Amino acid sequence: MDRETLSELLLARKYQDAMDLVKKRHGNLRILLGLLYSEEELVRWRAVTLLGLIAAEGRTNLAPAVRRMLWFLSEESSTIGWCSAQAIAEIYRNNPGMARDAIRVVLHFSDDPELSLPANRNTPILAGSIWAIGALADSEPALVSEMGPALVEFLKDPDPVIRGFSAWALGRMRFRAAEEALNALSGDDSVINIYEDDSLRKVTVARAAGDALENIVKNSE
Amino acid sequence: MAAPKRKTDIGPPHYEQMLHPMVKKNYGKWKYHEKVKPGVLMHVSETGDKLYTVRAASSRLVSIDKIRDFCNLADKYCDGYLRFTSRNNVEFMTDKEANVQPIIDELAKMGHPVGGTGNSISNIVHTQGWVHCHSSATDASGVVKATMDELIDYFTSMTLPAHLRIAVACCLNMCGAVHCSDIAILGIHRTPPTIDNDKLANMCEIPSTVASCPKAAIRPKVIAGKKTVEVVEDLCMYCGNCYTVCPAMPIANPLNDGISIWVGGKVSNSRTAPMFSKLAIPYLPNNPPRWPEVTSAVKNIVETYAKDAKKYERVGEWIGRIGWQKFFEKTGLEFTKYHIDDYTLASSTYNSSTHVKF
Amino acid sequence: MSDTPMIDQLETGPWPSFIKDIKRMAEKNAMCKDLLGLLEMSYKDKKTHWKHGGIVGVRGYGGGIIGRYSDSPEKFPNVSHFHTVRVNQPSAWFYNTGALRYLCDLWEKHGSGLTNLHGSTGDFVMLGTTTDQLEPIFTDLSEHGWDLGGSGSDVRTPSCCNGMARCEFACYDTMNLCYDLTNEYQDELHRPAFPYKFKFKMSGCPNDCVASIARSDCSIIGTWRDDIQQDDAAVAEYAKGGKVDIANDVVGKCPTGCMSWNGSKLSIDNKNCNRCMHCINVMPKALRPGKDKGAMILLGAKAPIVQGALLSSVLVPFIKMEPPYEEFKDLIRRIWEFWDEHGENRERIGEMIVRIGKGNFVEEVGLEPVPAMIKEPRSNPYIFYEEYFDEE
Repeated sequence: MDRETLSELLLARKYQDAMDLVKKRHGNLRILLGLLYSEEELVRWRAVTLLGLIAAEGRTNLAPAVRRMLWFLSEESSTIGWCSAQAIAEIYRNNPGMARDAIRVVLHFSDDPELSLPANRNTPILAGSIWAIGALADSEPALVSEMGPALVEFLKDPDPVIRGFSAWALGRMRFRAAEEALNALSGDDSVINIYEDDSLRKVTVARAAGDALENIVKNSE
Repeated sequence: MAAPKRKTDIGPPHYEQMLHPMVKKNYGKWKYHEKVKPGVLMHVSETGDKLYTVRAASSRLVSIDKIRDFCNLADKYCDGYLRFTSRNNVEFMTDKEANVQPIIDELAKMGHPVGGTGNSISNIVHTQGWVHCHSSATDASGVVKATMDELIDYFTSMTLPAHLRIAVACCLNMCGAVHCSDIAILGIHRTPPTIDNDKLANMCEIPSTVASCPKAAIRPKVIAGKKTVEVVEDLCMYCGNCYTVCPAMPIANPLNDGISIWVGGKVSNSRTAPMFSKLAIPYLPNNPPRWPEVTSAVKNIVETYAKDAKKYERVGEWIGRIGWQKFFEKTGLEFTKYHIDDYTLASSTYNSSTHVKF
Repeated sequence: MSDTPMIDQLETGPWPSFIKDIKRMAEKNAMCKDLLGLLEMSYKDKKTHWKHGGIVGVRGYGGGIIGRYSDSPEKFPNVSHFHTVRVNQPSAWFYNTGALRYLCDLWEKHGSGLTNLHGSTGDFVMLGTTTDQLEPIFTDLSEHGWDLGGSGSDVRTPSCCNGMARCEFACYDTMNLCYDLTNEYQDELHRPAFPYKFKFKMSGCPNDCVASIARSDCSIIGTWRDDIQQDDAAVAEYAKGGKVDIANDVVGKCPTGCMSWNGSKLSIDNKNCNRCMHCINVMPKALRPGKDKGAMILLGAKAPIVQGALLSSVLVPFIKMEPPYEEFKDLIRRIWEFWDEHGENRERIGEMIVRIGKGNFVEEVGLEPVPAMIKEPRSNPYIFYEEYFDEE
């Protein structure tokens, strides 16, 4: 198996075929992890989804891969795990036992002052952590709720991806305290890509905030 | 936002375009070489071609202006080609013998002594130190500069019994892999890490942190409802591996960090098999900017070796012949309980014989 | 008075001064000026002022850039970000001046202008730039035929000795193998997915000038199987006038005692030679490695962290090393697959082999155990027998 074959299967949403291929030989899991660095955005995200499906199926222990990906988020490893945060969250969502301690570290990228300050931070990594919070909002409300206030702050961030992802995540968390800040984004027409239901959706930040408000309101009725 | 496509995964440029025409012509055809004088090699090909190489010292940390100076010299005398060695020296190759002396003279003007060939002390391979590393227990470039200023005469001559390789690493991570050098200068921490209990669980995965300790001295703990870890200080050997994995466990301690000296390693298979360096001095203070304790300790070992070793004996082979007892006696170095190994397989280092010299 | 009295003291003396080089750049580059200040502070405090934290990179790659932030951004704002770019060096660090000048011009435009020639693993190291410069640097590099090196848990930038380019001892083409492997493993080099780092180093002969046996997970060291090539006239030339004391300095130093010298003729019992290189090193004009050349594959060297330092040990005593190196690559594939599955996080392959036992590892990667793999057989009786008889 090579990168290209697996990428094509993912782009065609042939998850079962892709999973069978990955499980055929252990070295193939490494190729899947390699796709988390793909320059093609959709391939990266679909690789995240596939890892989640493998975790859900439960027959391949991904805990060692989770440790490896977490290590790629440490400066000491001199590796940059562009999609480590999303992948760990997706694995945790599908099979918490495989990423129990790692998930805290992933989520707390967003409230670590060292890492989230505009001067020091890596925007894609931070965005991944925020996405992770949103992805876990349904299944782990208790785990993510303490991150709410940090996300509200991010709604004022200079980077549209950070604003948009935060809005999306707050909506999924139905975080009521975010309403005012979300309303303030109604004129924000920067365009971002949000990955949801294994598709990339192009939306304005205003739209993401509007959807989030709708979620929050729906919930409180 | 679609990013522009760009080339990736192209690898380094092909080496052929980097080779002097005479090197290219005689690739794989070299017959023998001679050390013409310290720092000058002559390689002779089966075709009869002769290639002269002038090897000069470099500080490894070099500015682009210095690299341009090297380039000017290579353009003037070496048809625009040069190389660097595995020990960070710079080499100028020419097919004209008449160019050798002018290259040496110009390098001297630039402040780059020529040498490092044959039975000499070549450049010291080293790590980043305080110039660019977060886990360093000492500086590297400064220690190298201070040491080579002392040992310069051994770089520019070939008078030692064999070649002598020195390396500096600024912590136990040993990015320079100093552990197989004739003399290794190693930065050390000597106190356990401190623990930021408030931040630890949010910064570090606890199982990885616990597993990082080679002595199983790190254990999970809950303090005031917060997950964290504790360190059994009696077990800690200050390797710093936990800090590598977990930034909430810093280990640097200016009062106690310092330098240790190791001797007798080698990587070449010549005569004896490759061997590790062994502890000669467990601790010397960090004393910037010139580390006098370190440089005089190294000089002492070099001079004792130079006087006592037989021709072709590397430091490790010399000690192998005279024995460690005599090594400590001849160098006047203090032998302490720290020299006796207490890590895994330590018993293989005990003297289980009656072979003792009186 | 100078702002940097301590490091100023490293400007004097005969050895080239890195401080002088930094100062030379500091005249035109504010990063270098602040680096001097930060370094002076370290010399005063006896402590590093670089922080643990912060990850950066370029799109599509997981390695090649080392993020670095200082702990004193207020005092020295120009080095608050000071990232390293590892540029994959050409085989054996040969350059033409055009190539070097290009790298210098690029680095002048986008960074501090300070470099390491070279990093411990072998890369052309560009020392110190800011996050916003990384993408432009990489785009420019790749347009000019350069690529980034490895970092983190990937194949690290392979490196090699100057081999056949300028050495008569080379038993295989190290520079070609280095180039070939670097290109073969581009995905593994740029997209970390291993348990930990994996280094290849290639030396053309057992002198091992790149220290592969101490510094690489996979050491490929040139050797030969047949007889040392001997030129008796040249031996006599060395003997004449006592240029070399053959009895003492050659025969007397032979570790296997496989040589003898009767005053006019050197005899070598090649079947007992262990290819240590000593005699060849002493008389390169007279003795040369044999003609049936190839390489030995050794596995597992590393520095002490975590379980103690290891040297590489023999896995394949002899293999022909000629392009396209299929047999070797096939072996590497099997080794990686096994390590990938059984290696723990941050466990180098050498440590894994110790943990699971070299005998088991050899079997798992499809090789036969041979005596060349060990120094001596076990002395303890704790054998894990895998086969025994059951009573019917």
